[in-house]
Amino acid sequence: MNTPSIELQIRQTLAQLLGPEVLGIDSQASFRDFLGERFDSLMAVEVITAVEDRFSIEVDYLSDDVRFWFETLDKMQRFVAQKVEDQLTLQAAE
Amino acid sequence: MSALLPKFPQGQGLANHQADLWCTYAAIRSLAWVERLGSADVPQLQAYIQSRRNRDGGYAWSKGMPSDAWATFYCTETLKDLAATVSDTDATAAWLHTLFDGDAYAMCPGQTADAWATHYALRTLLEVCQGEVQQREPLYRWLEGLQCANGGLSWSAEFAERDVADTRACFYGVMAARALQRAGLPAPAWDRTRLVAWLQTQQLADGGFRFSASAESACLWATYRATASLAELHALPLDAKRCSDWIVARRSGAGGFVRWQGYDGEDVWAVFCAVGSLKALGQPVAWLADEVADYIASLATPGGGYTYREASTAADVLTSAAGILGGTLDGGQRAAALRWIEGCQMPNEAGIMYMPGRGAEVRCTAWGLAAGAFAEQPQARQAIGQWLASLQNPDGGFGFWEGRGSDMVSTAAAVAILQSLGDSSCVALDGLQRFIGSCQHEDSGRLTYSAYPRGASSLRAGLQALSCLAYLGQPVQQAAAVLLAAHKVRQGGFANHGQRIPDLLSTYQAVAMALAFELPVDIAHLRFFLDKVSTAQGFAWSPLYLEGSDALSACLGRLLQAFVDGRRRHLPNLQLS
Repeated sequence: MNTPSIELQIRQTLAQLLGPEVLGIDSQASFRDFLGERFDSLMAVEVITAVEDRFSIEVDYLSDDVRFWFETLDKMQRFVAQKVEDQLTLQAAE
Repeated sequence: MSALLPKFPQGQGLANHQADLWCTYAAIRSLAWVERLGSADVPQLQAYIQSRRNRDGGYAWSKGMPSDAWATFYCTETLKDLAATVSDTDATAAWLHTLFDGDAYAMCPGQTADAWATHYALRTLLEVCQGEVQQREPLYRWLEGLQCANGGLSWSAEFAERDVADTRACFYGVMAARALQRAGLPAPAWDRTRLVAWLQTQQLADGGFRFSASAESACLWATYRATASLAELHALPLDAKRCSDWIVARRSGAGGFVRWQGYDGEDVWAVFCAVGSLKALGQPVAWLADEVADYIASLATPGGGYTYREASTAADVLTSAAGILGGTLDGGQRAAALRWIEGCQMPNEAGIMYMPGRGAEVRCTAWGLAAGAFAEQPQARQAIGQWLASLQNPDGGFGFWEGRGSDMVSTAAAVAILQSLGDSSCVALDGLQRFIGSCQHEDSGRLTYSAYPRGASSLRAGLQALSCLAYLGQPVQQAAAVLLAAHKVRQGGFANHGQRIPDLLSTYQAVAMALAFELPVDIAHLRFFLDKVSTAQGFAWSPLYLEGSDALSACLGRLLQAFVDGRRRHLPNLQLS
């Protein structure tokens, strides 16, 4: 069985947190706008934590510019792909 | 305290231009009583309330804050009044059960129960969520213990043993009993004859009611709590006619009401209390409907919700003190803001009120004094010291205001007040130490502190506890260094929990503590964090949500920036949450 794409995995993860509407959002659309009144710092932490847990990565809340990388689903999948790749590189070097 | 003449605050305070939850509830309930709810913007109000709902099922005083019983009651009651749906009440009921401390309900999970919180939690649980009380036996024992020897009800059984009754505590007890009875449960076995008699004796010769024998003048807040309690107990004031005349005499020309005789500032709570009292006395209120609706419409804010007086003049102490402390005001503005803050010391409660006419609060008093209020007024400072002493709870700590359960924020704010006053003679310092000890825990060989006895440990609670212990003369420098290291975020700033997610308030308190105890501060680390929360308007509370900024975050950010730039060597002792 094929592994779902990173973007689909992110959608599935966030759908559990925010509802099934996440499955249908345009990947270039602003996630901030989708959240609307629900968006605040607590929600931002919940979204980031859910993605971290799903991919076993760690986000640096200051250095990783999370406001940029978590702006759209497309950026999220690029960010996660990079983090996963960095992690694999580090593991290979150990 | 000595007599303080009622007065409209002199000077010029600063407003935050935001709606306030309690004002919004009072506005909507008043409109409901006079049958003018049609004038409210229901969808906008629903959105305002819904933005306060947290994922734990409770509601917060403002968006992004933790849930508490007070906010949960006012949010859900407002939705009920608007005939709007209260979503997922099962989750709200489950959250309310987490407030039970083994005897009754607390304001937040882990805190000690009090009459305010028990009333809010029970009414929300039973009347909004149609939930059930899980542990009836201890609850009834606790409720029945609220009755004092004098017949009135108190804030807790421990306060009742001191014979400290209050009309507000009577109201909260009586309305909690009403909620129980409406759910098919018995009323607590109070001596109702003596309860009614105590309430009736709080009526003064002019017709209005006082909070208790320690209050010097009648006010509409006490009058509403007393008349509504008496009505529920199927009784009336001893002189009901004089009472209703006194209420009507508080009506102003602009359609509102004022809280005290001789006071010239009308506000939404006075309207709420006046209309509610007249209803409780069985008096008609339809004749007030048009002017009350017009007055309340003038309190609406553009973003939804209401403030306490016409929005452009609705200043508050925290915003005003933040303006002074943040250094953005010129000399004249600063003096005007200080005079305005001093005008928030009002009859019956000598602390500083968040908004004039509301109720004195420990935290606001600490901010007001830190800003320089009453610096040259020994009589006012002495009154504050006596008021603070009267608030100390039997567990030794302090709560946000009279009768509230203890928490570490208020206890640290109380210590900040004692430091400002330079006098702790009225406060039981051994009790203070006892409360802090009750919030101490051991985690992997390290001492930690929580905001409440059964709460989760956090950086800020630890800093607050250590600042109190330092005031008590204990050596805390080493413990402070360990605590700060445990919450220092690698790239910049400090986190309240763990060491990953920094925020401005935790960082401010961490740096203020380090400076106070002469511990080193990593300037580059702090500067990196400040750059991440800096915005065009000032500073945000979190690097994750730059939209979340206000006068208080701007104040703390500017103070930190002044330290980083070498313009300050110490930071004021300011507690928020």
